[in-house]
Amino acid sequence: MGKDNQILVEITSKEYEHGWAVDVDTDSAPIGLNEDTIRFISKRKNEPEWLLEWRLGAFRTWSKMTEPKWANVSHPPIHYQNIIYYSAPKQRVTPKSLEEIDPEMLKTFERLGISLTEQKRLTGVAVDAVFDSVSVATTFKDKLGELGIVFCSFSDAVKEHPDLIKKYLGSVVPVNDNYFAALNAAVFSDGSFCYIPKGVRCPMELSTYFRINAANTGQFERTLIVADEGSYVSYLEGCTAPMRDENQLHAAVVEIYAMKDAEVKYSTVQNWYPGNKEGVGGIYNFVTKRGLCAGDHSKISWTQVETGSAITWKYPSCILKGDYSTGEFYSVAVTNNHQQADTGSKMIHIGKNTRSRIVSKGISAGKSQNSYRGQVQILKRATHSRNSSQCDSLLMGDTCGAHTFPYIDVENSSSRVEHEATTSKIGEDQIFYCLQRGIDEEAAVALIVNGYAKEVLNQLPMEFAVEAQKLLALTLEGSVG
Amino acid sequence: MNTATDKKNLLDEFYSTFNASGHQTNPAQRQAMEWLMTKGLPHLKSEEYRFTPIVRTLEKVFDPSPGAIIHKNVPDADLSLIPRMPCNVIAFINGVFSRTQSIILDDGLHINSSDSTLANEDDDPFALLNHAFTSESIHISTNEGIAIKHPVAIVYYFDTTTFAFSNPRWSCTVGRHSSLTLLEYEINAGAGKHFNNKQTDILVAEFGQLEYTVIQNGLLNTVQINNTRVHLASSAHTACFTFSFDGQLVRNNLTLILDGEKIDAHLYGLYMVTKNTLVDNHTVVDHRKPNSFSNQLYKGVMDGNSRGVFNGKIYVRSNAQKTNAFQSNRNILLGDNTTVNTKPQLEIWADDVKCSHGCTTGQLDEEALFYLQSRGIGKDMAKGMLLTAFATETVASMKHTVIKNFLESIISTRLQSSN
Amino acid sequence: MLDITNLKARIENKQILNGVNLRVNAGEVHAIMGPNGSGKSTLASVLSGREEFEVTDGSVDFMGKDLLEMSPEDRAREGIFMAFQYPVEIPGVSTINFMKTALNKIREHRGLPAMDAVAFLKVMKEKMKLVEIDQSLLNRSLNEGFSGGEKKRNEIFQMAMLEPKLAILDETDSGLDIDALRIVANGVNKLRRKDNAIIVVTHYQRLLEHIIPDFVHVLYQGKIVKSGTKDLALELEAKGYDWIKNELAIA
Repeated sequence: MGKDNQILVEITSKEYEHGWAVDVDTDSAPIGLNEDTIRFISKRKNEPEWLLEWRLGAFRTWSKMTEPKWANVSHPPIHYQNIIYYSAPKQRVTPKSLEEIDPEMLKTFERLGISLTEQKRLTGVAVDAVFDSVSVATTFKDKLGELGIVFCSFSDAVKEHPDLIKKYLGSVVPVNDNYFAALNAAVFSDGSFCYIPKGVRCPMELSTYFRINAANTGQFERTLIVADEGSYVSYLEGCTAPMRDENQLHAAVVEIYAMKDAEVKYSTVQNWYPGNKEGVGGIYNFVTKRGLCAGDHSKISWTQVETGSAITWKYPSCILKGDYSTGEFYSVAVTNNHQQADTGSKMIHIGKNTRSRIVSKGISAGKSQNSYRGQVQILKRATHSRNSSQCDSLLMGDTCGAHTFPYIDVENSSSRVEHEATTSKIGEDQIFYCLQRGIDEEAAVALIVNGYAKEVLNQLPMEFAVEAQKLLALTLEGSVG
Repeated sequence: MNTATDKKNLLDEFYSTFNASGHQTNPAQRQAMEWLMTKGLPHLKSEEYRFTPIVRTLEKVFDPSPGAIIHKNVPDADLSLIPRMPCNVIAFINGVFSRTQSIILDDGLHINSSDSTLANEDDDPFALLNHAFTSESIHISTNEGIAIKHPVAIVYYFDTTTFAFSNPRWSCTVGRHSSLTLLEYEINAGAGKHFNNKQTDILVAEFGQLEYTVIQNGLLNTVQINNTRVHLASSAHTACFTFSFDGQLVRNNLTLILDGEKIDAHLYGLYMVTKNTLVDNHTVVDHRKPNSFSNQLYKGVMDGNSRGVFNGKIYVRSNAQKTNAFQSNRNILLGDNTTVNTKPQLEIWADDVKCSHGCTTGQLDEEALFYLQSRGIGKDMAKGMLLTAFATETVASMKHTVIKNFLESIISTRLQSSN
Repeated sequence: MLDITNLKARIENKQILNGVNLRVNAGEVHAIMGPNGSGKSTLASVLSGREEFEVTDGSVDFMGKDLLEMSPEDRAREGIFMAFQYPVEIPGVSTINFMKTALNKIREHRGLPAMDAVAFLKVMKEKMKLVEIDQSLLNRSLNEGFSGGEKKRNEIFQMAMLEPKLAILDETDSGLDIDALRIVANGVNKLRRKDNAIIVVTHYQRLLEHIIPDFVHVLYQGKIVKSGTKDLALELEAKGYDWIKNELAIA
């Protein structure tokens, strides 16, 4: 109960908080994209031949694809040849300990509230910090290692656990899945890898923190989580970027593989730079996130709080292949000024007695457009399956738009699907009631919006929930009155 | 006649049929045909036809050379669907309007025919097709301030033994402060196939009232496309009912444009189908001005290998404040090979509105079933009762009691025979 | 404490208050009665700062400050509390959370440090007892799904928490059964002090059997037409509002 209040007190800044950039010496790929770029990236990362081939295959696939146009967003054409696909902080050697990491970079993460140094670490959260294209540090590695948990940068995983990577890379999001996934497969630079062995319950939250720093750079990270039989892990993801006038592309892929009885909870607080009030700059966030409930009784739960990015294109999904498997999607998406979000979820029911739940809360303000796009598909053999979806939209003003595009396809007669959507606004009566109790309008809006989004925010781990509530309030500042 | 191998693609088939017809000399029709050729026919990747293989189905049904169709005189009684209900009649015999078969009973009701108006380049491909093949548009209108006593029955009478390609077009204006009941249906006297590609534009003027019921009970080898647009002026009241019982493929595009304030618009639909029937309802409710109300209720009862598609769009434009717009789609799947594809879609640009949509797909409520059984009602009967209750909700608010009773009896008969 | 002079207000061109004069001192309870449409709720709304009402004339002095110049939240922070006739529902926001936010905003305004969770809970428990309200109700979303009685009790609980200088109870008795009325009235009575004042706006006399007013005023056609002691309320109950109307007609 205390956390809302604390947040309201803390809200003082009006602008995007994380909009600064730091000078860190970088090692970058030449601008543009061709097979040489991919060889460059692969070589820089000392990758094995099979991975280079995999990337080149992806590049060839991508070259034949066209950018999808179906999302309810508009933007000037993206010039894929004007992007730098690899940018790494210059580090002569791989840091063996934190002392060897560029102090400028350590400070960057400190400023973001993420301490990589031992004594200041958040207890109970292990962090993998990704700066531009590479992972710079992973904390608590040893402690997790004792349980057999692998939590490291993707590059390290390729070297240290090639069999796992070979087996699961692309197993949930195949190379040719979509345009941005193919692009990612070709040029991904780093990311996090996590493996939870059979029967292990990960004792702490695992977290990846992404930071785009360099200009003209795209960020293409890849996360792979493999949860073996009966294991459990809760995973958090955060992200920020400097304020820049040009748009930057972020095309990430997250794959989750859950075996029998495994449970994975994946939470995101997405706070990429959204562009300024006139809609200049900001991140294009085109992300493919998908989980495969491969085993019976497995469960994957996505929670996302989307406040940043100029454009968000993102549909965390669950493929419910195992019988009795469960998929969940909880989302709050806030758009203000000129932001555009087209986000939602897909639940594909393949196994029998599978369950899914979708809760989406959209909040639109300013001149923004906020779309929910989702699909619930119950295949013929997925008998006795259930889905319930709730999609609510809150509009603030008549210059923004709220859209819902749910696709519901049911192919057997023993399953049951329920979908509900509503649209509302913040009542003047609600605001006045708060005012009469001494709560000013900005705080009242924050309070009401947080109440509206509560069902989703409740899904987040405590540390993230606080951050998320602050963000909601910040994003909507100045949108009332 | 045609084997699968030498079959041309459907669009070319339309084109050559057009060029061989008398329509090709009419510039407006020629223009519509050219636009269609540029635009092409929808395929399964077209967003609006994702689940409806309309071209594939038409390729099987369409016959470019069906032989001459005889326009014979039909006894009046053969044109009626509901016995002993006097109606004004607008008759299309094998797709062609027949003035002699049409009947006007009421004063203040007018039927005119006019030559083809120009289609719109961005019309639906099937609207363009209709324009290409039909020059004549029938216009139904009422005086102002009059309640037309008898329903106007729009009858599509088919007696072909081979194939009929039918492109009827009519429009209707309900005058200010007037009220009208429209009833539209098919009569199939022959066992031939047909493709009935209908185009309708309705205007309900200020304070006008319209109750419009469509009953789709075609044969299993027929394809129907209904493009219907209804424009509503301020304080107009309208209720549109669409009942789909049979046919191979039925596609209904029903668009309501609420271009005034204080409009009251209701859309009801029931698709109760078996076998291989595919029914696809696409509705658009477009709120363009403030203070109006719309409500949609579409229900499906699916059996056999049937498929039901529902796509309901609600638009609330930025100046349509204080709009109330609701939509509900409920489906019961009885057969294991049935499929329902639903896409309710809300697009809202105004903040002071109340909008919601809900949809469910599933089975009869087990609790309710058990409740009835525990009162001594057998399971099949209990099921029948619950299904009837479920389905007849779509006619509950119909004002014309004769049509309403007729529909209720069709619904219960069909539900009994399916058990 | 409160000095209302010749207050005139309207909503959308409809004049509702036609020159209200009222003086409320610390320690006093005033009842404002009147038939439907006389302007009682308008007066409460104008004092709490609802924007729909336009003040066309007159002044309101609250503890030496011009009340009409203040925003609604500043009025609340200065010590005006309105118990709403129809408390609004706010989904997802618990009463506890809501009160903690409000209380700390008010404390901040008064230059007091924010209350931490422990201290807040302690105060809350005390006040809960005062108005006989259960914590489970306070954990729920504000007023959502509350019965009429629960909503009103929640209003009085909030009054207890925020310790206003001047509380305005707008038709707090409406929709309450006898038991709920007694609980609400008891709560209010326990909050009566020498340094605060209460204005009870009501149509009926029955609330005044439980909250004994020092003064009773009759508002009619936007003016206070009669003032007296609690006996006036009884007289009104016996003779009905027509009595006032007739008396005015004669005069």
